[in-house]
Amino acid sequence: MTSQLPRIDQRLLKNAGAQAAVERIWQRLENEAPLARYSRAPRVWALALASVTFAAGLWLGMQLNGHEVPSAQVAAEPATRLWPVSGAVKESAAIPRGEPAAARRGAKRAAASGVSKTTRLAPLGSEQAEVPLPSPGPTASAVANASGGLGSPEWMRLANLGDYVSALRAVEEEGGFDQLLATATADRLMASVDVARATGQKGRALQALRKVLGQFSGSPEAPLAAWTLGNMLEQVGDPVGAAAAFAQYQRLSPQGDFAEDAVVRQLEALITKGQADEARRLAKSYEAEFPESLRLRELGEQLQQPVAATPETASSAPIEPGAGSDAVEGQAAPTAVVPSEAAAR
Amino acid sequence: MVAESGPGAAASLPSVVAALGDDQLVVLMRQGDAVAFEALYRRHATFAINLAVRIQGNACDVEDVVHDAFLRAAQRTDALRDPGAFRPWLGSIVVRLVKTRLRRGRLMNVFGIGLGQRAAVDRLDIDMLVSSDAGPEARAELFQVYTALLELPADDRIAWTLRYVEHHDLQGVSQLAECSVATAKRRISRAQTHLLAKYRHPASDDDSEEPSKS
Repeated sequence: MTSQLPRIDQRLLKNAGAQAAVERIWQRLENEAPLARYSRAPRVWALALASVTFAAGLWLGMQLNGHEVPSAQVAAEPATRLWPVSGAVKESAAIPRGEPAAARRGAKRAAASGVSKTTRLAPLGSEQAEVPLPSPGPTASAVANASGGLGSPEWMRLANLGDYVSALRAVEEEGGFDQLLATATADRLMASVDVARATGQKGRALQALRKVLGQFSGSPEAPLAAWTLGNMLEQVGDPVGAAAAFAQYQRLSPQGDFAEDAVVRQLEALITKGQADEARRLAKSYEAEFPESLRLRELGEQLQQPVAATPETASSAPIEPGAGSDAVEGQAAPTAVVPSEAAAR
Repeated sequence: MVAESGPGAAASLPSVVAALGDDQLVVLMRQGDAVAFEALYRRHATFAINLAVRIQGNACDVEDVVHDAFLRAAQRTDALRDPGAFRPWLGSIVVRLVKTRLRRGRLMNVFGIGLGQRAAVDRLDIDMLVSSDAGPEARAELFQVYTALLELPADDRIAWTLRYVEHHDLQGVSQLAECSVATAKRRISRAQTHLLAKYRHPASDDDSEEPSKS
């Protein structure tokens, strides 16, 4: 704080958390249905039991492995997931002991880098790993994909390892992006989006995303594709296309993790476009649907301000398929046709 | 984290539970242990209530906010990656809930609805903020500061309050406000500029006079 403002001494502040208030809140909490699952029986013993079990397992593992690193530590390597996913420990343990050390290290590396952008996070409440670990580990599929996986092309294996430059080279060696786009499944298209974005080929990434939305609109990848498309179009200054993509996300996944954000982004795009009336209508339904929204006030303020851009001036900077990251030139990309494109196919 | 006994600590809690650290209590809570949850609640309820009151500038619906915060914490305990960081995590939930209320109140006003709500949420209640031990000058200073704070956007107001009222370091502010340290700095700086422009030392009658330094 500068010398001109008074220093606020906490001793001068009132303690609002009086015992009565604490008790009142607790009375309400205690009766909440979601808390009913909690047992009143003390489970301190569970901690002790878990600690003893873990220590015994660690000791046993070290004895059996001749002091090699216990397999559980494979799963305890850098935490890259938000949520633990079941099977990680078992898969790590399933690496044959007879494998060469390099192979085992490779599997560990692969496991640690197993969260590529295409790897989905396990949903809230998904089953957890059976062994309590300080940090969650990779999925079995990540290990399998990074190790080659069944039927996985080389580029996808490299992409799963995070080596996008090599993955791009492999894509080109395997026939190039056009062939990939023509034949790939939705999950491979999403992997190709990662490769394209990481190597500066935004146009290719947009192509792949539109392909997912057009040909695989019912796939689990489609909502993420719409979301990613909206983000990318917004970044390149195409509010029209971005709004359409975010709207499509809402249609594809109205209860999805990004549903609220999608409305907000759509609202922002409408404001940028200058469609204030439509934005106000959407804002009202947004308020009704997401009454606890964090963004309502900011958006309200934006709606009060004069609109900075017209649909024409705000319209998109074009992206050529295969162009580099700075390729924002030429004719406009067909950004506004996301929904219709999907419908047409 | 070593157990702290807050004013809300209940004698009814088994001493062995009350002595556990937050990290251990969180592990137990994840297993559905109600006693562990109650221990966490009683340990951190006062912190949560004070945090909400000091950000809002009043006690309007603060009990609802804290209630909701603990409920969310209980429901989403799996989202807490570091069980030892329960307190800042809870604080971030409280901050988010308060921010939501502030913004909703203002948005309602922008759209011409919910005027009463805005008045309630944005009203300064100095009696809920200042201790009865504080002298009139300290009370006047806080009144000025909070009056200026209430004019700020929620994010800036929250960041400044966390930094200079709650005395968190920048890392703590960014953690509680769920933003980067750089963003926290920017918000604090904007708020600081606004407050400096508005603040006049209570002893100064002449606006042209330089505010006295504390």
